Amino acid sequence: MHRADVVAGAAVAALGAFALVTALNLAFLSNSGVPGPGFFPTLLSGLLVVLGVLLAVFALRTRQVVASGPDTGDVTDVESAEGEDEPSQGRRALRAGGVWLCFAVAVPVLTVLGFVPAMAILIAVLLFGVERRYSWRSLVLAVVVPVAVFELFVHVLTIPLPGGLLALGPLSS
Amino acid sequence: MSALAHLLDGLGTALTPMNLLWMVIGCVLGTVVGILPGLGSPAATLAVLLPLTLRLPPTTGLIMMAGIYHGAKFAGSTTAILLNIPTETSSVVLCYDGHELAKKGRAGPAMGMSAISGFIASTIGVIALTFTAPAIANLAVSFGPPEFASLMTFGLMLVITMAGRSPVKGLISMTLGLLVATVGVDLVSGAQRYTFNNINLYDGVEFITLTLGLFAVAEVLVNVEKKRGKSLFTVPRKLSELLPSKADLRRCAGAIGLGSVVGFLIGALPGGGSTIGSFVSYTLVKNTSKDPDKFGKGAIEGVAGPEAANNSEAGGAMIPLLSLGLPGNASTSVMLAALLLYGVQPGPLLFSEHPEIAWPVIASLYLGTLVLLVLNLPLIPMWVQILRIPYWVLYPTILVLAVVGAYSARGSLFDVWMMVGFSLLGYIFRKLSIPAAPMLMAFVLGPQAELALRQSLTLSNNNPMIFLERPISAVVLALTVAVIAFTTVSRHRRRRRVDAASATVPTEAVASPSAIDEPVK
Amino acid sequence: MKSRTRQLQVAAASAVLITAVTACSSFSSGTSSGSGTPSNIQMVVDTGPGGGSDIFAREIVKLAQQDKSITSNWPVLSEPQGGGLGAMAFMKGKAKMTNFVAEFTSKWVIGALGTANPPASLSDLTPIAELADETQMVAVPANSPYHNFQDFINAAKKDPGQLVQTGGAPSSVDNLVALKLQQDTKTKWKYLSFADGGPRITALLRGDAQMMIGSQSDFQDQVDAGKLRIIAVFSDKRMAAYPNVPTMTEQGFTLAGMPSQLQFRGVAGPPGMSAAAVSYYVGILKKMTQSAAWQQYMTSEGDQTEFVTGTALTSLINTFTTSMRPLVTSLPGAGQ
Repeated sequence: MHRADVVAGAAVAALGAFALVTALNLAFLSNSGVPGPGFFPTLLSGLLVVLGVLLAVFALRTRQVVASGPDTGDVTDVESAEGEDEPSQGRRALRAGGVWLCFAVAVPVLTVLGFVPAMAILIAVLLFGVERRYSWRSLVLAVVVPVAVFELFVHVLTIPLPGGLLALGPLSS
Repeated sequence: MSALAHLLDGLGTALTPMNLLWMVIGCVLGTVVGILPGLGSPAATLAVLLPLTLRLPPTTGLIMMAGIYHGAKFAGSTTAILLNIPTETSSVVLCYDGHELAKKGRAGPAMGMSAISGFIASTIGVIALTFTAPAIANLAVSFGPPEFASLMTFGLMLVITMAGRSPVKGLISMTLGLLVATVGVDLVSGAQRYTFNNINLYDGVEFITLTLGLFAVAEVLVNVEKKRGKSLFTVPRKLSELLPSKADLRRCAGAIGLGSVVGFLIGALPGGGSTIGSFVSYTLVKNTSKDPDKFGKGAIEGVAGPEAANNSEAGGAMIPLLSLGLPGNASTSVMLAALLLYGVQPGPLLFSEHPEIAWPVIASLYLGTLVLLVLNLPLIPMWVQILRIPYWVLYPTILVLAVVGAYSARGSLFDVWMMVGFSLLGYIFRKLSIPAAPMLMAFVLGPQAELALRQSLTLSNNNPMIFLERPISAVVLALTVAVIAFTTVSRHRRRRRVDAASATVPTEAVASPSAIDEPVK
Repeated sequence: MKSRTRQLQVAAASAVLITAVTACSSFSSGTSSGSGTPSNIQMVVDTGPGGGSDIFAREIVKLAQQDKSITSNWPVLSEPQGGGLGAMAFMKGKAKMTNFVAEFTSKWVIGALGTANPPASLSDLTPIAELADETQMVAVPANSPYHNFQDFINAAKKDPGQLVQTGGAPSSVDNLVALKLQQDTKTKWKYLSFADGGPRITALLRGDAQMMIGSQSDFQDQVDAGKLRIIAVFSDKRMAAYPNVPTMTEQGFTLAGMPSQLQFRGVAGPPGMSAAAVSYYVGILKKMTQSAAWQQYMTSEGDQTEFVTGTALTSLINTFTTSMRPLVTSLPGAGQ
């Protein structure tokens, strides 16, 4: 976990460096000498670099000191300490990653097919693929949720949802 | 006493059966629509339901809007407590303790406390509005860029004190939030910042896009890691465990009082000062508590304080709207639009020219929370049932609603992409124990802080003394220093006590405090 | 084996059902856009709820509903960033769609001029109709020592670069007119940007700013309450609402080279909007501008009805663009 902090610190510092380079193209001060558009971004991205380095350095130092101890440092405070009888760390991350990937892939599908089909496919893939819930109830859910949400937003609240490129009109309604 | 007479008169007008019916309908509609992500902020709910209210006569329509407003606020708190989805800025802090309470099976008391403290705070807010409006209006007018800059500094300093056990991680989260907030076309110079010539980034990042990714979807990703298909948390079946106990109420009395005053004062500032009311209230309640360590782990005062601020803010926000004709926040902006569409010009003359509208509206704001309380306390057991829905049903639905919320905020598929990206960031944050709330709070406070700072220095020809020369600004800065000092001292003292008690675990005691203390100094 | 078969059955059935749902939804979308009239119309504005353009757009929708020209409500969509750039970019992204119309103002022209590579400009969009011109005027706090614009100029000359005008983005019309005035009179004063109208007014009331250029709707209620005072109007003749306030020309500020319409409002569609859709909207808007309720609204707002369509509208926009370009490019932030 401390190694994760080292990586995270490096990533934050890299992100800060990138933001800093971009921010340097903006005027740090305006003509009248007051902070310009680049003032905040420059300071913030600089701060991000410092914080990233600090995080990495602290993590390296902590690891040297607690090299033998179990991983119970300042990383377990939020949420990760629940339930030991659960799948291994790797499997857990795999499940979460799988759900995220399905979710991410749903966006291009949404762009092409429109809201209802894309969301129906997303739910179906999640329930059949990830959850392995081969039951009629999964199917009902995959159909009912998108259709109900679509009806509610588009017809009751008159808020448009993406119709997709395949739809003939600009927005399916 | 004429103000009181007017208020009673207004109550009389608002209390016709027809008006009351529309208010109940408004409350229900507001709650139902407010549950949907993307429409969760009262402003969005009001805007969506505005056409409906415009078909009614002005007084009735505005009374219904008051009902919608309160319904939407309650809905925002509900989703934050039950599902860790804050739908508006003021419910972000509820994720700290409200959701923790829900995890412990105390979702019912958390929601009940939200409604009860909201009701008490509204009462205080409306009474304050009735009697102090002219004085507060003057205060609101005298709040200019330097005062806002100081207030935002106060807010950002409070974000730092909330950073949790690792200040470096808290600061990283906060800095990222501030940086994300700079994306878009700069108001003062017109320059493009971090837009990469992508027109979708010209408008900056939407609050709801960030929230849904960082909180709602990240929460789903963390939850699906665990067991398959079980419901989220255990929910007690006994009714007595679904409502706050007398002990809870007693514990929260101070928090409600503090939150009400803070929320009312900050709510009265025109130009969005209200967003930090609930947040300031939370940190003050936490820092004045005898036991600040249990905050963030399910302290019910952590629900009562911000919720009180969140509701008394409505009374405060009506002051600039009704007495100056200037909206204080997004919700009152929609109310202003409604008033104008009814042909009523709010402004300095509203109370003298249209008392038949001004006073019933104030009265209905108050009645709104009463209706909400009566309507929703019995319904809390029903709301809590959401937690009993098997997770395999709940989480795909949340994902679908997240897509809808990100898209419908401004009809952009790019926002959906951003939300997906933020969800990955939120998941990584959780894995690395980086708190996400500072990022969101900084995102909200950042733009105002930056603008106010640049405006102030423009006014003073770049002389920073302007922040100390203006009395209100100086007071706010002094308050900032006081709160920071108080927090640091009490935290230090507590840690020494803890360290002394846990002297048997030397490695951590040696390693962590140095890592924790250094960056704040 | 049995359960495996069942799994396959369910999977197959779901595939069929999803296909059916897809077909249904694309079918239903086909019916709405197939007929000539746009449906699910949304009105894009460049201010948040309660802002000037937002209220104007809602008023248009309300009046059109009263005329029975439209039966459904047109939701108002707010795209407030970058003083119209965001809204234009949004509209550009909706190319050929007939159900998005934007309520543009003259500041959209300026917004595109002030950006090196604007994501969109008003000339990208399909202009439908100009509806009104909002007369600009100069307001000062009621207790201000300035009783005409010359007073203000004199004070600015005495204390160059110290007086403060408040407004929105530096590229907005009120600042450009002010820049022109500063050039003509060889004076300088500061410009304080606020995103919303409310804080601008409080800046005046508080004394942080000494002057603001805006429209009647910005000031009316504060003027009625005796908190603000109008000292000049930018128009050919005096306004009915303020018969005692002289025009800028009367006060000796001719503003040579400036267009006569500074703050016009109109409606535009996305790029490549079909002629049929344009004439659909022109019909609705024309009927609306002829109604008595519209006239009443114009009077109360201090606006003049200017119903211009087609090539006349295009040339009006072009003229405005040409005369504003030199002012916009003189802004410090221009061409970044």
